[in-house]
Amino acid sequence: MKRSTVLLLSPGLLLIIVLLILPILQMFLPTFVGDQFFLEKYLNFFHSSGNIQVILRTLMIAVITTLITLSLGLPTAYWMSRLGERWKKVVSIIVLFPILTNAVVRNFAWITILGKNGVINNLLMQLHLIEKPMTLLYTNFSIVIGSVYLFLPIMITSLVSSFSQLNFEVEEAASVIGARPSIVFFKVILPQLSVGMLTGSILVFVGSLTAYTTPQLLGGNKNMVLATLLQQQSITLGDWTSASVVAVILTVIAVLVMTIMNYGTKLMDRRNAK
Amino acid sequence: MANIEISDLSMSYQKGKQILDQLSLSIKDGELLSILGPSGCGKTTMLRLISGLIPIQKGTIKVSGKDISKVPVYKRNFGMVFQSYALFPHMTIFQNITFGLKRRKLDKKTIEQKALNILDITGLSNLKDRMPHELSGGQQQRVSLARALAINPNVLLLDEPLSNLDAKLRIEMREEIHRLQQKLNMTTIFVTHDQEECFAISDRVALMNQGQIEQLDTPQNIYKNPRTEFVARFIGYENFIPKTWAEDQQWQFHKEIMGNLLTIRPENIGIGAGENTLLGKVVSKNFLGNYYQYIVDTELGILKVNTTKDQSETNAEITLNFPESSLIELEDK
Amino acid sequence: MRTKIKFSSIVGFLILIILVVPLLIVIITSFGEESAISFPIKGFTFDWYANVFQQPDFVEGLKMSSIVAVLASFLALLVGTPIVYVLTRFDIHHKDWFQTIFLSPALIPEIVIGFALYQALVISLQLPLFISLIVGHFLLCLPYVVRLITAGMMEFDESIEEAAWMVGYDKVSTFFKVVIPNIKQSVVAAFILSFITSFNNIPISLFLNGPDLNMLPTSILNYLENNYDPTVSAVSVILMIITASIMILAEKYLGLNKLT
Repeated sequence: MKRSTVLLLSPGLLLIIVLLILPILQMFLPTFVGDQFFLEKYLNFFHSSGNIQVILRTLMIAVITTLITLSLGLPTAYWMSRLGERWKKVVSIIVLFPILTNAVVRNFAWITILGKNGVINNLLMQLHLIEKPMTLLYTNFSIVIGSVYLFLPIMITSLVSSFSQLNFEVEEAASVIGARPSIVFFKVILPQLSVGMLTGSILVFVGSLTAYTTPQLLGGNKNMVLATLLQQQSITLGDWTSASVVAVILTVIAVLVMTIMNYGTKLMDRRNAK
Repeated sequence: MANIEISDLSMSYQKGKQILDQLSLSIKDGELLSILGPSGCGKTTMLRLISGLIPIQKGTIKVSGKDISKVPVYKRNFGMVFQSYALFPHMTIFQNITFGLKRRKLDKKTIEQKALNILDITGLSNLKDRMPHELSGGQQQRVSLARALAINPNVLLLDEPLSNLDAKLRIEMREEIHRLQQKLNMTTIFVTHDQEECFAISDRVALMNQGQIEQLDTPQNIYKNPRTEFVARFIGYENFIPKTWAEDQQWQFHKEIMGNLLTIRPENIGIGAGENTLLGKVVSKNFLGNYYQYIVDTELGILKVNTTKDQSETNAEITLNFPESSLIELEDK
Repeated sequence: MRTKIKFSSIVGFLILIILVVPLLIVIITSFGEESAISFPIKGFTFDWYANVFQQPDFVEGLKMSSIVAVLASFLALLVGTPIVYVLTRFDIHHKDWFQTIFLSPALIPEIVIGFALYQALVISLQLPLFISLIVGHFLLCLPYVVRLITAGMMEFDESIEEAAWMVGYDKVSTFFKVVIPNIKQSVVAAFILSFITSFNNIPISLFLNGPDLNMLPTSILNYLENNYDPTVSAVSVILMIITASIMILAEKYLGLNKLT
């Protein structure tokens, strides 16, 4: 390698190694030391049904959030892609604004909506549809609502870009030969969108899997996910080793999911290119 | 001005593919030499080695007797015109042209004088305050040429400068290049894959194939006397005759070189009796404007014959003759 | 076809409303006179905005978040741009390995980065919190810089650089006089996106702040644990105004599509 290459790459490389890789290793390695068995700490972790529940809840929320954003994002992105230039721009700004706005703000909005004295309960009580406020906040439901709200704009953005590359002539050709609209959508449009759908899904799934702010604000102490558990074990309880075990599990799941889904995207890309 | 002496230039990529193979070439002072060849023959690599854009692995390049192999690209003082024009998008035409001059220790007035002079001789004076994206392709290439000439280079390097232009502009631009090159008496290397534009303006042509020069000669000589089958095919010869077969037929031809093939241009094959004859059947006849082309099936396979007169019809049995003076012997590679 | 368009228009329009309404509610509640957040509001007041500026955590947090975001983005550009230049222009082995390494901070969950940095930098190396914060946010910003500048370099014709070398500029001066002016938009876009990402970050800051070092988003988070009054609405509106201003600036100088 040339001297200039080394000179230009090494500062960045050094920073990444010293500031990211070594700290991660320092955190990871002690979790694989046990009195009898190197996976002892993990066995202990999985021994507790509470912890299993946390993992399952985390995964469930990520899966449901991804599915909801996908099914709401598809028609929205389709609609956006067929708008005229000017309206498209206005709508894009409305979609982009939440992405760039702090997550605390966006989650806080849902506290005011879902809380005991929140907008929904107030409204329903005034209409005399319910007697006393419903418990909407600090449930799995509210975490999902918050996550969907948080990630829907991201899903829409990645879908819009693949809708705009969509070949509408194929669609017209399909309707000319007599395919019903629903068939056109599922057999003609959807396959062309697979890469955009996967890209969006990776962002949303991994994003909600590792999100901290939403479950913290909207989930409360009862509905822990991995990220809030990590925070509780470390900052609140000061149990660094348990927190590290959680961190390793969270990282492994996230990296694994990303690798598998990225591989899927590549496969589809190649298939579509043919 | 400068002459260039290239000796034993070799270049291979990491995967072991040989791009240039011990190539030697000398270019005279003030000469316009073209490097012609199909894509992948190494012509662009050769130009980039001369320019210094890629480092030399093996061999030497001397300019006016001085070895420049170790001189970095920005100190070589060569002008280069790129296929994509490569104008600086953020500068006006005037700034594009003075950019190189500013690097040289000249006072402001001299720089402006030189730039205006170049703008004048390239016919760009009225465009000097425009931005590159406001110009047409032909104008952009003119600016690219002006920028290269502004620094008063020792050598001018042209990397397929015409291939992004349309047919009419191409002819116009190549005349322009030729005119300026003559006027400035500039040693010039012109890389192209287009035989016509290369023959039109070059003093000499180096025809390259697989990292080697197959033939180095004037355009006329290459056209009249291709040295190898590759050269012959590249410049449009289509009829090839095995020498042993011709000897068996007791044909008359010059036997000066060792080789297995003879070739002849389609317009030199005669129809009717004459020296060195061969029977054939007309497969098809095409009228191509100023001549007719006959596709003739013979013992040797399909031959192409061009004549100015309409001499025969499809399916007719005809006699072809091959004048001794038109049969060209080819060397084996 | 008609029914399809109608269906997607209805859904699309509803989604837009759902995206906007919660933020509108926040804006409205920030003007209510009652000390607990309520909707619809009673009365009208700017008091909660005044209250925001009386909260030292918020004021200090806004300052600190801005400083950290600027420094981290700047650092990421300083380190990231040469890396991208090498990766897009030089012929090197295992290019995609290097690419993965420099994008790796985006692979690891942010909260894990925060936790790991806390253990390594604050506990083990005893580095000041401020330095650790800069490090964390630098890691956060680096992948954005690498991604956006790579896109900018890919669009920039390599022979333009070569043309500058040919007329006498060495590689370093060509980089500053020709490359940088032409990828300026990508650099600015990378800075803006890095700034926003850093400014909005919570999971990393969570571990790296302390009693004397508050970041705005974590301060709001802490405030929300003990209070539920329209001060939070007011500070949210201020954050929205900051976002909107950045978007207007970005649109003016770059076009918003550069940010996505």
